[in-house]
Amino acid sequence: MTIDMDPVFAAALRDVLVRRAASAAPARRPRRRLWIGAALGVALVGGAGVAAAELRGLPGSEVVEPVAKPITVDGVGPLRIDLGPVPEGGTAVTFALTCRSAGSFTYPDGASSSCASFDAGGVPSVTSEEVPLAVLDGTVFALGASPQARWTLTLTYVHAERAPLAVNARGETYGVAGEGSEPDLIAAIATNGREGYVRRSALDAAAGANASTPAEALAWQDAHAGKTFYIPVYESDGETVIGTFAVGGP
Amino acid sequence: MSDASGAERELWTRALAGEGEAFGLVFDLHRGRVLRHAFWHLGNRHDAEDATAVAFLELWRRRADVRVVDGSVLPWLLVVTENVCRNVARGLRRYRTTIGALPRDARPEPSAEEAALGRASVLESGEALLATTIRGLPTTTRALVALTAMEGYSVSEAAAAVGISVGAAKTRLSRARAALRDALPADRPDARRKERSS
Repeated sequence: MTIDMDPVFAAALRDVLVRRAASAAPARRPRRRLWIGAALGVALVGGAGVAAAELRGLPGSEVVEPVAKPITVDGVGPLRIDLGPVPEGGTAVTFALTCRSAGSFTYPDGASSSCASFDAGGVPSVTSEEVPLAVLDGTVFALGASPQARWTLTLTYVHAERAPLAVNARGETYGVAGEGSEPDLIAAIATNGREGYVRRSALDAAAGANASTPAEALAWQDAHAGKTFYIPVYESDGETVIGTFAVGGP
Repeated sequence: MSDASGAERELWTRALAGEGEAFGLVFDLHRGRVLRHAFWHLGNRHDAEDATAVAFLELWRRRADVRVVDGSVLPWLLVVTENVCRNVARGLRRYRTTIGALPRDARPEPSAEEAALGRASVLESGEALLATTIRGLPTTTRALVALTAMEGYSVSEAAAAVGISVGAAKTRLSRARAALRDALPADRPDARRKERSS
């Protein structure tokens, strides 16, 4: 018997991790990122940081551009923050909350986070996300917080737009996979380090994502536990193989 | 190996830059090893899954401090897993809401017999003894023993993963060996030989 993770649990956990990474500012310097963007008018890829600049321009990636200067507020407990009129082109607000003490927080989109303990010597825990304007109360960002929680919140009006997927000669879409973006060819890195695309159908088949019931997922798991599958990595043409992508395995 | 570690390093870099799917791929790469390591300690799939979730959530939360060893975050993950397994309840505290909200399959827990079999499948015979004696070791030493004896890392890799010098790691491992040797029953010559030869 090989121990493997409950596939339902694993898929949900993976989803949480992917969202967490995608919505987080780069470690340590979230504020600076926004300033750089504002000052240079540079389009940054969603959840962007230094290395994400390499992704800029990949079809399907989200482009987030500040349309106003960030507002930074320090506070204790819950607070309603009026951001003022929405600038032209504004579609969303990005926020980055840094815990200054233990506490729990809720955000206008219903998300929540908590800092269970605060290690004064460590890197402060930063929660950052983008929320659509529709979840604000007019132009007010309502932060829920436990009464004694100390925090610093940076809010910025941004224009967020997902770049369209590209289409190759075979008629397949290609680009970065993400919320609302399901290309036929998904941007991936081959085991040889080369960047290309894997076919979604191959990835789904190799990852057991085609199971539609727990029973199917179980059967799939029993048959594939511990095995590694290799699927080809293509150029964007979906034909030229440039490497291999490993799925699953020990 | 160098290709694989180069690819993982790249994935990690992309994840740090906010590319969610890259972090998902890091999870795909290591979830099996982390789960088995946790199961080895806990002998219960549900708890091992919780410990695995905590390890990966910690990997993200503490991403600024993660020590990447030979292009891989796995040694660091295993060290965190070791610590989480020491006290699953404490490890879960920070993520109780997140992990509690994750759906689970209706599949029943394996029977005690299956669990024992599963546990045996991730252990060499000598390591079973190690498992029972390793628990009393100090945290850092325990992580060093786990990485070198159970997961096959070299002393220098293990030292890098826990953040101490190779010399200090050797000293701790040698003390641990002495302690483990004392703890091993005299009628298990196999296990003794394994300890001496390593």
